[in-house]
Amino acid sequence: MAAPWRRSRSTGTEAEFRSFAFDHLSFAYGEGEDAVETVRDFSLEVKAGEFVTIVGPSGCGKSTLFNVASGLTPAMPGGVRVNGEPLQGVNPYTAYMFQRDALLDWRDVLGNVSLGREFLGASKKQAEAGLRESLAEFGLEGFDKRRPYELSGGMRQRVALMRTYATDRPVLLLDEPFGALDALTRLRMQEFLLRRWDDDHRTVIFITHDVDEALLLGDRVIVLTPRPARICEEIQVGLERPRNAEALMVSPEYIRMRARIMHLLHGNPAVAARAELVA
Amino acid sequence: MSAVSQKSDSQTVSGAAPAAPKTSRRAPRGKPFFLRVTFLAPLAVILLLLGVWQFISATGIMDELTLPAPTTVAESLWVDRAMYWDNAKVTLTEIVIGIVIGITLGVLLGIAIALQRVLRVALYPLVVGSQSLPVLALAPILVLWLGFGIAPKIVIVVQIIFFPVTVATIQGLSSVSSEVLVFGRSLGASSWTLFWKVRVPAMLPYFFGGLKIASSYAAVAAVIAEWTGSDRGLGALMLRANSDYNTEVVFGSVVIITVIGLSLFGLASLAERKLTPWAHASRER
Repeated sequence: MAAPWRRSRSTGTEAEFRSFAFDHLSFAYGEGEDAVETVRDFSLEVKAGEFVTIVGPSGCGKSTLFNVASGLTPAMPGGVRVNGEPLQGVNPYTAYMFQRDALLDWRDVLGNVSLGREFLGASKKQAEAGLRESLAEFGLEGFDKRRPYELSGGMRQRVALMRTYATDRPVLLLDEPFGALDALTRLRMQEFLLRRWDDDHRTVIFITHDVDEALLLGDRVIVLTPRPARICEEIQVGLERPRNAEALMVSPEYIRMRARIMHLLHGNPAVAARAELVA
Repeated sequence: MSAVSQKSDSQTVSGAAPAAPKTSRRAPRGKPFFLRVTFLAPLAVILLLLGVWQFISATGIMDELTLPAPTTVAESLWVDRAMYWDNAKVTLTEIVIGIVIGITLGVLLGIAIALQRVLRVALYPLVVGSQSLPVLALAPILVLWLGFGIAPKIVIVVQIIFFPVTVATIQGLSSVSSEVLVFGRSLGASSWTLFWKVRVPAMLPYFFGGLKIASSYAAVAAVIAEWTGSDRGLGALMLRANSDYNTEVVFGSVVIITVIGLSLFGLASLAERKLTPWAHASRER
């Protein structure tokens, strides 16, 4: 998806994306005694082309990280850096995707897929340029005129994924994108995302609470503590790509990492001793 | 295609299943409207009620002065059609102007309340409070201010119908998922863009829900408004006919008001079907 659709006017993303970093970020909602601290002293650097997954307990402040990363929620000065510079205003490199697909019922598939480009300032016609041809890459060939309510859950998520991809933003913020799908559909979507990622190595930051998903997809897995979110441990996955979910399930390395993450998240002291042994 | 397959069926073994029709996403059109259950069933109910009514009048259980027979009412509607039409024109004018102002006011208030916190705090109590105003009791004052013409009637129609539109508009504008808004804002979309591309289309199905309620109130509101002081319009005609014991004219007016009310509701439903086809399709699923 090269960008012939883009207007000539500056969109602010001309400078090449190199890196993104949380730099000793702390964050709290509210003021004074009512303040709820969601993130504490969080540092993480993501280089262009990396696939980083973040796992943590529910409600630990994962979504805060994304809202701060996109610049929609202003953070402490210098808490977020893009290409080494402090982020000011909305991040011009990021595009979101969520657990709820949030497709627009009154638009057909093509209209939904082009929505992000329209938000970036393209006209409807410019936005749709080339997208019809790309539908096949997302398993949506021939569905351009269908409405969201005619699609299955997996297809809807592929439309949402393609909508995010089509923005041509170099950093994808995926917030539990497959969390609402059934196990088999989720597995298919994970493999699908891996194939897409193999094509263009877009930078991906992927939030999940599914340990298998985190290991299957990521170059690194960042394990978070309960709120306020801090980095509990960073795990270099190092499993060979392309990855296959079934093969991984029986790989000793995979099982060891999985046990370690489960232990970190579950935090049961009785199990801890055995997990240490395995590790 | 079906003709061909039927022909070949009749030539071969009897009882052979005809070729499956090509699956179509639309429901088959089939019979003309006036032969369908959706038309015949309500028609049967109405005819039955009219029959009972006619029977009661014919047997003299209730005398013609209290309950004129349907045929008498129909005769009055035809013979005095010029009189009915003159009065219906006035009432229709009040209704149409009232609906146009009421919808505009309702939508604008809804937008203001849904999108602006300050305006929400400032206006919501007033809007809700306006619904507990005994506006009919205040009608004499309205007449005092605005005269005996159609103006005070329009005010009453507006007062009664804007509220469901406002509530529906607020609900519709707030029905947008926060994810779409976050997705849009992170890409630099302006509030204006999000309003037109996301909020307004999401609002439409709710708006039409409110409009249907408003349109079914409008006719009654106009008639009652005329009772509070008027010499023209269907409401005024009813009052005069009532005091003159012209019961068939009272019933004739009721018939016309009902027809107006049904037509308005039908128009609103038709507009809803044409302008928000997705809302129906997703509900049917």
